[in-house]
Amino acid sequence: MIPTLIGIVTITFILVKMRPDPVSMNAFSAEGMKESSASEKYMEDMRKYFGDDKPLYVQYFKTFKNLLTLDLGTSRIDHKPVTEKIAEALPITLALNIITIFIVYLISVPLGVFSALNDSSNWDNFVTFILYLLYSLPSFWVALLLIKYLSGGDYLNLFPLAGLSSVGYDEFSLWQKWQDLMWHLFLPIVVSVYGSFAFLSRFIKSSFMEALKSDYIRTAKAKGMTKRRVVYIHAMRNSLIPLITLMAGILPELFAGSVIIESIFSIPGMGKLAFDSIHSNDHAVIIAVVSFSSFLTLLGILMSDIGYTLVDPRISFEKEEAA
Amino acid sequence: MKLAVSAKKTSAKTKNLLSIENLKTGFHTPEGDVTALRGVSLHVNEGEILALVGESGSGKTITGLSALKLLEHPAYIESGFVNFNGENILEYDEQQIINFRGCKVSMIFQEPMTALNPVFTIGFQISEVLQTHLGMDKKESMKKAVELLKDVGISEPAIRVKNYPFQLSGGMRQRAMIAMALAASPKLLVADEPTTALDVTIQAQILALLKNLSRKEKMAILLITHDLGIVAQIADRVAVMYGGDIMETGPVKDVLEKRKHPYTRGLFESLPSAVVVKGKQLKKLKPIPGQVPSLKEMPEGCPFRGRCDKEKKECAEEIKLKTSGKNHKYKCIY
Repeated sequence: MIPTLIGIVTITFILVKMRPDPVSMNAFSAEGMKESSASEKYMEDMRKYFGDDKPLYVQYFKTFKNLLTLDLGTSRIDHKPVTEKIAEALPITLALNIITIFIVYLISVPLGVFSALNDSSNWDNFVTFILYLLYSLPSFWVALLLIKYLSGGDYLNLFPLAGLSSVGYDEFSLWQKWQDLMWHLFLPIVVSVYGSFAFLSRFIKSSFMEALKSDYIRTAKAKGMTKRRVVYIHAMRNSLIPLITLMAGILPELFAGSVIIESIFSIPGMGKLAFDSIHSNDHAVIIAVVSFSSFLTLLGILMSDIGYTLVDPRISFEKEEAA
Repeated sequence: MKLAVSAKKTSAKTKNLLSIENLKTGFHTPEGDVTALRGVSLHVNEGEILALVGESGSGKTITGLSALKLLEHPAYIESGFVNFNGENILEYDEQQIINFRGCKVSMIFQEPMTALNPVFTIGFQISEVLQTHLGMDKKESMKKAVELLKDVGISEPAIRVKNYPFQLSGGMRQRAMIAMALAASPKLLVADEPTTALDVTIQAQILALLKNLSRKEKMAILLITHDLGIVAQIADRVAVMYGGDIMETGPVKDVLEKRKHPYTRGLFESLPSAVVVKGKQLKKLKPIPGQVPSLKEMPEGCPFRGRCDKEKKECAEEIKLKTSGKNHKYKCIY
């Protein structure tokens, strides 16, 4: 896990440093010209301030030092500490993604099991058709359609156009705050959820059908177990195993997805922060956002590995250590 | 001679436990339905071991599965009866069949690795049979599971009961399977190639175990195998199967010595150990020419036509069952 993280930070660092010098770019766009001596002096100061004047290897090691001490420097745009920016953005993205994963699993698992038990029936075909229809709709397009028709008042005004909170949020009671938040998050969650149903429920279907065809299911039937017990005890536990790895696989996808969704809905989360910082060439923020996202993804993978040992007795970390 | 006498004594008292009558089954395939069993009739008496012998694809396993009404789509039953203690189990409803399976008839399978659920302990898998069929509670059933494991010759049963299948060796897994199958003291055990996946020394142990349990518990066994050596070792009667039909059936001694059907003879001549056991000079192995035809290409009349060296015109017609000796029957024109 740690070597992977070092690798990710290194690659991000190289990519970031390959871009044009941010100070000159930002100054150029700000002042409209590059040649004047005043701006030359200003740029020198800025480079010194952000440490861009030091050799690359010094900057490289400083990046690691910053990450380890969680002192991530300041943003080039608004001069706020990066740690603070991330602390504001991270909970929003985490909440969005955790709710998304929860809803996706809550709906896909029963759908997948249903389809497996009623394979090739009309209902199964219907469900499959709807899911693939949803799967093929690009999320940015759906997001824009939803905004156009359901919010803003051109057609309906059911949901807010953008952002996370209404005016006067600070004076709301806790319950009102919660309601307001959910109201704002509704469309973003719909957009990030609908495309994942097809993938996950098809996966569960095939994994469940494979489990149902296996020898131990025949054994369970031969023992006189009831149909329910055969399906929900004997087949379920075995088909749960791949679901857990899948969770780890979905995480990075969700992080990538939040870049689009958060940008469209103007939600101040990690995705929007990443998008904006790349646009404005905000080195410290880019590196911090990428490192944190990948750290969380790796943490997710680690957690799914631990989850594995809970459901599958054949895998055990203790064993590996002993061997 | 002594064996023959004792066999006669028991057969006088015993009655039919399982009798399959004129069972026809088939498979739904994308290219249309094909016939798998072409009217199989056999019976298993109380407490006896009947060996069902034949090549792969002859319909042995399907016959065994149908004894528990375990045939499932794409397999289907066309006609026939499967009677257990006089009741046609094919007419059982969902609840009746659940009470029947594992309780009156149990089954063990060829691959003890895949036949046990990998994510549950041996104890769990045995105790759920006890809980379902004997109404035991959790604690009681676990205690009984340890005893059952001990009965099938597993050492340290109290530890093994908490093990997962992957922690046991192949032979131990099959013993655990047997313990599970015997948990509710069934009257009949269908053993589908129980030793095929095991190495030879373990094979002998498992067979001895099955034979002992059969004698001790007065449990009948329908032993499905392709190994004539096993048949000679433990079976009371034998049924030779080919192309979805029983070719020859009778007491082991009669069938193994008289070999009325050319297919039975073919099986023997292609068996290396049998050639040695007879004490004569080692002969060259004589395999049966050709292959078992696919279910679609099965010929009319005798299914062995085309591979038989004594084929005649009459073989294309329906073959009548002939009798040789008291219980020895075969289906051949000769």
